[in-house]
Amino acid sequence: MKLTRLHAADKLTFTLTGPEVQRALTLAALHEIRLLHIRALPAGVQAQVAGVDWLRLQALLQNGPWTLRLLQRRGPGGLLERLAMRPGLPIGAAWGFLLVLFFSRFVWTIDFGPLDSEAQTRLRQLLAGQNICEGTLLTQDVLARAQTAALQQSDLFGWISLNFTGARLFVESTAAEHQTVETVPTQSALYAAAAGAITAIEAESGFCTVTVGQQVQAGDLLVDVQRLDRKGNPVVQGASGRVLARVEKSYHATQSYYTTQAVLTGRSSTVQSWQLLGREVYREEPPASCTGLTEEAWLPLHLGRVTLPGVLHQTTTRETADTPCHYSETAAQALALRYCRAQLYREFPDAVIEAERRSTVAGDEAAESTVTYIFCANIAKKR
Amino acid sequence: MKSHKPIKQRPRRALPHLTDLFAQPPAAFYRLPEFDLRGKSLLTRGCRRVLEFTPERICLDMGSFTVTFYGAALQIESLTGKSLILTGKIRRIDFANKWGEEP
Repeated sequence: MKLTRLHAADKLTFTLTGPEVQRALTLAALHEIRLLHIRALPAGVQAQVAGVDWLRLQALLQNGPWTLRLLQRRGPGGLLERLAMRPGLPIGAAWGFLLVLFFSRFVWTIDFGPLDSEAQTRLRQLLAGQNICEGTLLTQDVLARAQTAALQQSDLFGWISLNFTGARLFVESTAAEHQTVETVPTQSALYAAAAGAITAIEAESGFCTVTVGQQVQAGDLLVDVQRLDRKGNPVVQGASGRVLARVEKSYHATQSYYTTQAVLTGRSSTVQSWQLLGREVYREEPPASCTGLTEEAWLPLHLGRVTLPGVLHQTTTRETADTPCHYSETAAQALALRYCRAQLYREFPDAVIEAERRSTVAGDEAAESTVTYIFCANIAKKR
Repeated sequence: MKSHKPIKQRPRRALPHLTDLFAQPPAAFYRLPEFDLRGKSLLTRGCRRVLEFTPERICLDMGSFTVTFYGAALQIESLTGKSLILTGKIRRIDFANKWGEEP
């Protein structure tokens, strides 16, 4: 590249020496070459000329008896000349710019924001289900599909937005808020689920047929949905509410000394899969024999503090096997007692136990327990 | 009584004659050298040649005239075509008709 082209925007300072330099000045002026800051020197003149006129000035004066010498260049030409000497620099910069434009279409990092670890794990699984992880070439369609899938997880997110900008996918969300909605009472009466003495009536709707202190049997009507008015016309109202009663009830459970359970063997296998720019570059083959509990993790790839558009997908399988277990007599009895209490709470989740009588029998093969609980609970149930 | 100051009488200028106002300019009026003073610079648009150029003396060919500037640190700030801008301390300007006539 010619120097003059690079220095077209420069201002050049030169000296002109020789006999009758004023003739040279006049000659340049007549050829519309603008000379600036012309100073007389003992042997000639010093002047400035625009870089774009430099070649013309040289051509004009080369046949004369004068000597033209460049003193100084001022302007961007020097920088351009240095760049022209190293073309790799501008080409590299342009290439880098294009690469940044291209690679910014891939997901380099996922910012989950203030989500807790459990929510992060669930959202990570959801995104992985939509084939979105670090290194994915993300399009608006894929993003919209993932957002729709995330919004359907209403138990976790009240509102969620997935934003992709500058190779960064960041999540904005609000936590789901749960509100208890009172259902409309149905036209069905409430009956006693167990025999007992009524201790409190908290009927919200319907017509109560029992009083506090009254002894009821299982299946007795507690809250009715219909009552006759003074004229004998039926008045209908849906039944709802609680009827608390003190109940005495026995539960029986058996626990065998020898049983078989799925137990972790202690063996585990980890299968790693490396994904870079949405392509799987390496994958380990999972061992065929290892089955059990599976856990997945996605670890973003980093190079120091720089994130890379890739992810390490790790699948850990912890092997379980049906293993015969032997319980001692005491352990079996404790488990049987536990099963009895579990039965009670399954039947009456709000039960408050006041007293209990335990009876355990250690047999040859199993331990048997019978527990009689005296508890207060809501016994009103619909049939 | 108040003493009034005597009012100073301004001398009356002689009004130009009406025919002088509409008369033609002198001969070769439009070929006279023209100079503009702009700040510390002197601008002319009729310079045909630079005849002499030193820090103390600059002589210009203005067509029918030669104009010589005397002073110190004289320099030509810009020179293109017939346009010339001169800076420096100008102490004297001499005009000379190239053909020997008085300017």
